[in-house]
Amino acid sequence: MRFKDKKRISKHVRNLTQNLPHAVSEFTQEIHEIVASEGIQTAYNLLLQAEIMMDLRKPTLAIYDHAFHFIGGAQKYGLTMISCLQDQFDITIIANKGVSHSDFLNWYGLDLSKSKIKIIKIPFFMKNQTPYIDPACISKEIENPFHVVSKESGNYDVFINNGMNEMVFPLSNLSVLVCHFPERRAKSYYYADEYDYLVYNSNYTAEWIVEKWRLQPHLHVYPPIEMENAHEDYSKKKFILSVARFEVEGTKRQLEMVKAFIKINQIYPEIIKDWKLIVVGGSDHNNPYLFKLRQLINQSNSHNIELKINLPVNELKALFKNSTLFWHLCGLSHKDPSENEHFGMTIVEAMQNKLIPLVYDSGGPREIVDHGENGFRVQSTAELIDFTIKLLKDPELIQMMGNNAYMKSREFSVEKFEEKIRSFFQTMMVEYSSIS
Amino acid sequence: MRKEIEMLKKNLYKEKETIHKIEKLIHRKIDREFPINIWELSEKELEIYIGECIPLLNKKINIKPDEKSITSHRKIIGGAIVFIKKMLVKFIRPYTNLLLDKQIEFNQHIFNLCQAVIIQQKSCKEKVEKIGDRISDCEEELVIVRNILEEIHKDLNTLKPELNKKTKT
Repeated sequence: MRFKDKKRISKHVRNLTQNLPHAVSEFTQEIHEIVASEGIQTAYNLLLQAEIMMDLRKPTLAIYDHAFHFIGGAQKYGLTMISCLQDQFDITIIANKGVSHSDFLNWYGLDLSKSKIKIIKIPFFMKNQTPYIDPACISKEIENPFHVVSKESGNYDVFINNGMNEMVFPLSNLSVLVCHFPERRAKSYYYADEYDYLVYNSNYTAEWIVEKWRLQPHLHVYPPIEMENAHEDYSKKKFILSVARFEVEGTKRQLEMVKAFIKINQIYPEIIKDWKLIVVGGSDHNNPYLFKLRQLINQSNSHNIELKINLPVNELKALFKNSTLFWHLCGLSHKDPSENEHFGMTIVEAMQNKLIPLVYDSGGPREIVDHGENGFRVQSTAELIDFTIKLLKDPELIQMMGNNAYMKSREFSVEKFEEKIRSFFQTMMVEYSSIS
Repeated sequence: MRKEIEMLKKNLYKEKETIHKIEKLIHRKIDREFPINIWELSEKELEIYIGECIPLLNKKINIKPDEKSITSHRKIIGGAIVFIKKMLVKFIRPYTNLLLDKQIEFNQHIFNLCQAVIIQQKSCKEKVEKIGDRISDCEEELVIVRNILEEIHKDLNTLKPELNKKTKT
């Protein structure tokens, strides 16, 4: 909601900085005229921009995500973004449920102590007493509950909406929508086209932004992935690792992976006997999909398949270090493009630890894995079995591809992410604060 | 100058906080209608769309006017207008029913047909999924057989020189 006539603002700013007589009264008069013609928010935004142009204060930035109280890749993306902007901006992290600086430090290793945290409760979601805030359950029959956040956005120079939540209307001078994937088509309360900039995480996401929203996104920034000490030498064990949430709908395809491994156990007992499949993920304890998975493993009498639920971060890192192959079949038999992996952060984490990825050939993983060079992209469980057996029989191939995987993973480092983000925001602020 | 700008900002902020509607803050409408193009929907989106349409269609089968829907916005003579309208509807009802009953019967048949098609489509989908699973199993078996054949071929190639030696002698 920027006041578009920069020349008019610049004229007032010049008069004010030169302390010309009547400069303040003329400026106040202008403000009141804008309140009457374009609304009080536009007038307020003009004031905010004038302050920055006169260098009276540091620019303010707010970042919002309705899921900041959960651990997630998208949340890590947004918080890493602001962690490298803390010197440039006065930052406020807006959440809808209780979360703290120590949570961010424990979950992501990010020190965000220079940023404030503001909790804005949404009454509509509080009455259900559920931890989940789901924009998909909002229809035009009810008042948009996210407008309480929309209003808050008008108090900052820059507002970043990190939550794939197109129902928040940006009122700030500058606005950025971070799209990890456009889950919903334009329906009721759709404001994605009101944002100044659209940042996206993969070319796959960009294709679907064009398809579903008919918008051209602006800036492509791959997610930042850095496993600490991933480059250290360590002895690899005969582990095949899978890391993905145990979704109730089974979209991460752990059942199919376990079935494929059981088949290899049955047909190639000599090759596979020293190997172990370790399936790791987060889940509630009453998850019917998890129950199905446990049942399958028990019925198969396989002693080399392990399930690890809600593993602590340190144990997960240790597994990454010690494992050799990484299976990821998210997207297999998908019914919707949102069921494909939008990017695949765990795949890159695996590659940073020299695991060879065997991934389903769709979505974001196509941009990470080069088939036959640093991993394999498969189109069926048959191909997954085929390429796995190929690797198990060829330790030299494992060595070579593991090294290639590590080299490729460097393209998705935190340094590259921060460099892009800093450059983007710097360009934005130079234009915002310059006097024309 | 700084203090004056601070004051101006504070006053604007106070005034802004009293306004709750976004449209009032920026003097324009923000909500729009977006028509659905069903040709663009994915399989999952179509399932959701069908699930939403069926109860809506069910509600609209009976198109006969309800007495409660006869109203008037006029304050003084509204009551009289509503009475006259109700009398008129009562009078022409036998004639309109001749047409409306046929339409309602048709609507019910169409709705039943939609439901039957959806049930049939669900059954076909389940069959296709089962076939997909069987194809997947066959592909896996083929891969395993191919690998076994490759190993046999490799073993044969290793044995070939020895076999040739033995045949020569």
